[in-house]
Amino acid sequence: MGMLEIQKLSKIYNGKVSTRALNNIDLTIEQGEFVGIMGASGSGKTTLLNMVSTIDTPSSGKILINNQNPHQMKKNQLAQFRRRQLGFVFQDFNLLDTLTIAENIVLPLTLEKKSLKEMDEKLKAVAEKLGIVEILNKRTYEVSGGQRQRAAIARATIHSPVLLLADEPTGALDSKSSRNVMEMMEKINQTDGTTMMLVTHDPLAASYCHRVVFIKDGELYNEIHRGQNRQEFFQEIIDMLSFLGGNAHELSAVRV
Amino acid sequence: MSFRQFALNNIRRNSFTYIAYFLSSSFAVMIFFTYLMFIHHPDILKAPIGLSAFYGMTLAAFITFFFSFLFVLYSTSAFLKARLKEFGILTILGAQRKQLNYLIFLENMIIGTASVMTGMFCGLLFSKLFLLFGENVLDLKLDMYLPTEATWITVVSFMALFLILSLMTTIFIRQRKAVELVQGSSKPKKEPKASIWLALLSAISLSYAVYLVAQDDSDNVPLALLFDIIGLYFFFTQLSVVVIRLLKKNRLYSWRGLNLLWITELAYKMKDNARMFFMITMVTTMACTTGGSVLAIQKYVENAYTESPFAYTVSQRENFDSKKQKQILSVTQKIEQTLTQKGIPYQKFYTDTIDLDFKNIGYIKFIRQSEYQEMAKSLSLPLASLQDREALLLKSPLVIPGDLSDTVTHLSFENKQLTKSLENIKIKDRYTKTLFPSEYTAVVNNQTYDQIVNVLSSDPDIIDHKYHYLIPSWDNRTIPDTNSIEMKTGLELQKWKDSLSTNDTATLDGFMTSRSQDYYTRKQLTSVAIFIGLFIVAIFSIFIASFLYFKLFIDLQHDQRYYHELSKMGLSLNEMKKAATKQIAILFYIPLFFAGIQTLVGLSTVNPLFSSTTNTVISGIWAIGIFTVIQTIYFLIVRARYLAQLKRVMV
Ligand SMILES: Nc1ncnc2c1ncn2[C@@H]1O[C@H](COP(=O)(O)OP(=O)(O)OP(=O)(O)O)[C@@H](O)[C@H]1O
Ligand SMILES: [Mg+2]
Repeated sequence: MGMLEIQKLSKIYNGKVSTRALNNIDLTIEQGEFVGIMGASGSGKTTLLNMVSTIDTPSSGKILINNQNPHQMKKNQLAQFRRRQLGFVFQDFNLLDTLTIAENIVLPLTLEKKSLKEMDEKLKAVAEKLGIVEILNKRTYEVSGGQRQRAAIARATIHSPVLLLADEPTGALDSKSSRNVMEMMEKINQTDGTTMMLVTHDPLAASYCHRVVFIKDGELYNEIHRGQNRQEFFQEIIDMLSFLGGNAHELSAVRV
Repeated sequence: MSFRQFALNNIRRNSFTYIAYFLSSSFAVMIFFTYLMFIHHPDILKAPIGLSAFYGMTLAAFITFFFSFLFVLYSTSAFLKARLKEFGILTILGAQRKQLNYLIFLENMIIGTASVMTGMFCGLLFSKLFLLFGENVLDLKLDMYLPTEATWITVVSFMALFLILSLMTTIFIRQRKAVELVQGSSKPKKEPKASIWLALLSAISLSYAVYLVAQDDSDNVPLALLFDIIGLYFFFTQLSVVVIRLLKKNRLYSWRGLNLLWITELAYKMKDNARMFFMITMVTTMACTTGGSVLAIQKYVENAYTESPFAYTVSQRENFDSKKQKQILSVTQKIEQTLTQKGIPYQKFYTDTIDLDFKNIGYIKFIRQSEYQEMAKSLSLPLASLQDREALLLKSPLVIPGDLSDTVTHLSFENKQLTKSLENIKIKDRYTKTLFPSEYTAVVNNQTYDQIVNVLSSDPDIIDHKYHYLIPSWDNRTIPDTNSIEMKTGLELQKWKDSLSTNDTATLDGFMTSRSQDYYTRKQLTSVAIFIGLFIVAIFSIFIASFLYFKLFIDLQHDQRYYHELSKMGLSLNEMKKAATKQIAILFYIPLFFAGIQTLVGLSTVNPLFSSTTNTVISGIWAIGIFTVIQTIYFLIVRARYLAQLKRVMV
């Protein structure tokens, strides 16, 4: 039994034209695993992530996180589940611009009414780990994109979630910052053993994962595992993407 | 798509934000029109209080117009500020400034014209209703008429208002650079800095205003008001920043639960809010003070009735020598006839009284002990055995307090002759009881009274001769019903008096005052004041509420994104409601709180102008209470609509 179990998951968006965004997805992620999700634009990656993060509800199928089905919970219970068990990092508008970086990071803890001492300790630990101690008292618009993303990771992990979900966290960053952010995620995965699920277009970011799952037109297409060498893995991902064809050149052209 | 269509579509898309602004503008137009309809009514001046109503409503119309101007100015500029980014994008897309100006101008004029039309339509629709309402208050037949004058004045003035303000707003846009437009208001605002000096200035101004008020001198009032305004302005812009900063610094409080959310949100919007709080506080204070004063006057009018023991008092005419007169029309006879006819038992008392002036005190009415004792039995007033030059002092609760303090033991005459023969009068006992309303009455024994009369014998007119009618079956502890026998009898006597020709009037042997008639005419005046004041208060409260609504909905997009992110993070629906409610409640109730304090301080300064039975502070509390209830209704509506919008983005 994995930490995250996705069983026969489908999602249909009912609009003027109904879109089948996900079709019969089965996926298991083990405790402590770092999994990347890749695929062409519109293939359903964000949809899958939103299902897992309980932001959206599946049309059919089941999601179990630590053997719990969040989609059967009541709304308030679900909110609590999200803020205790899950952590999120998104491409943009992660941080609230009315708050300082430090306030942003401790926000999940203040909602849980943790003691000031505990918050300070955890803030210090996570800020040191992510190298953002100097910017803690700055406002969000006073720091760089890479720093902002690291702050977002800090916020997503300060409460030690069981599952960290990231949707294109490096989407708006240059390769140096991307590398830096991915190293931080890898470090958290290694030291805290946090299970991670990462959606990305970026082969470089994906190469930090243990395993990359490819989605095509809402269905699982393939998956590749990382061996010892990250560079090799990176090449495999590129190959896979070009094999996927169609939009692949657009994906691999991002940066090599 | 033509430019006009583009403007129309813009309004349609922003209708959620515009709705409150549009409705309150329409409401203002309607009220303005209603006032004009009364002012220009052909029959308005026929009522006894028509002239007061006329002036009152003219003033009210001006106030309405002035505040409409401010309201529209504030609302449009706030809305433009929120849309700077949109204008910036249009500029980048190649829209010329001229086109942009035209767009804004067009949008404003469309809404303005729609407001004028809606307001006029509702005004005409409800005109019969308002006239009926007015008829009741003014006690005058006001027929429906075609209010052409009111109509064109309303249309012209409000169209001019919207035209001028539309032109002004385009100037506001013209001054901005394209870059500023693109960055718009979404640029995160820096937290405002507080200056210690300005905060100090605020504290000093407010203290000085309080000091001036405490001086109890009506000349100080304008100066006190000025310092109060200065103090309050800097209080909101400076001290508020300090308070928020302290709140944030206290992490034990701010880093707990939802506090972090609303405190930082408050800090973020502080600069905008501070000025708005100031304006709203001033307007609310005005509304509550007006309301409180009207209520206090009404209370005074009621007390004047309940503190009058005699239903009728007839003062004999001065220099009226009944022997010389061929014909005498006796007022007392008429009253007695009327009462006997109706089978109403009465007691009649006769008094001779003298008003005497005393050093540092003013006039006190003197009455003979023998006459007093007769009345005292029926009125259950205190009795006393009095030596020469001793007085039993009765203070009417309606007397303006302050002149005669409890420490005074002796009364010294202003009149030198009286001082020579009587020296002074010793106050033996004092009671707060009414014999004659609004006056101090001193009871002295007959010898002393006669001695005074003797000294002043050169002027026989100094003695007032009066008859008082006590009617035990007419209870004056509660205010009378219009259908009560007392009211009807009073009206009958009044009609009799009014029906007399000038020749007849010359033969009257005295003047009648009737407590029910006095009450009735005073009551009418206050009704007019309430009638006018009510609309003004309604306008103020609606302007305030819709401005706050406007403010909230301008920031809606920002707030939606904000709560959407938080919701993903695990903020529950209930927590969102709590945090957002706090945010809205702060907007509504902080100005109300400070306006409440100002109103109470303001009204307490005029309290000495009223008698001790009328407490202006209590009237003020009533006014604030009513205003709070109205604002709470708006608060609940705005909150419900706002939360519904936020709920949509909660995952
Ligand atoms: N809220 C929605 N309503 C209707 N259709 C939607 C909605 N969200 C996504 N879709 C559709 O579902 C499909 C999958 O979208 P999704 O956002 O998951 O793609 P994605 O893989 O994340 O793409 P990208 O790489 O561009 O972010 C697309 O065809 C999209 O148009
Ligand atoms: Mg996506």
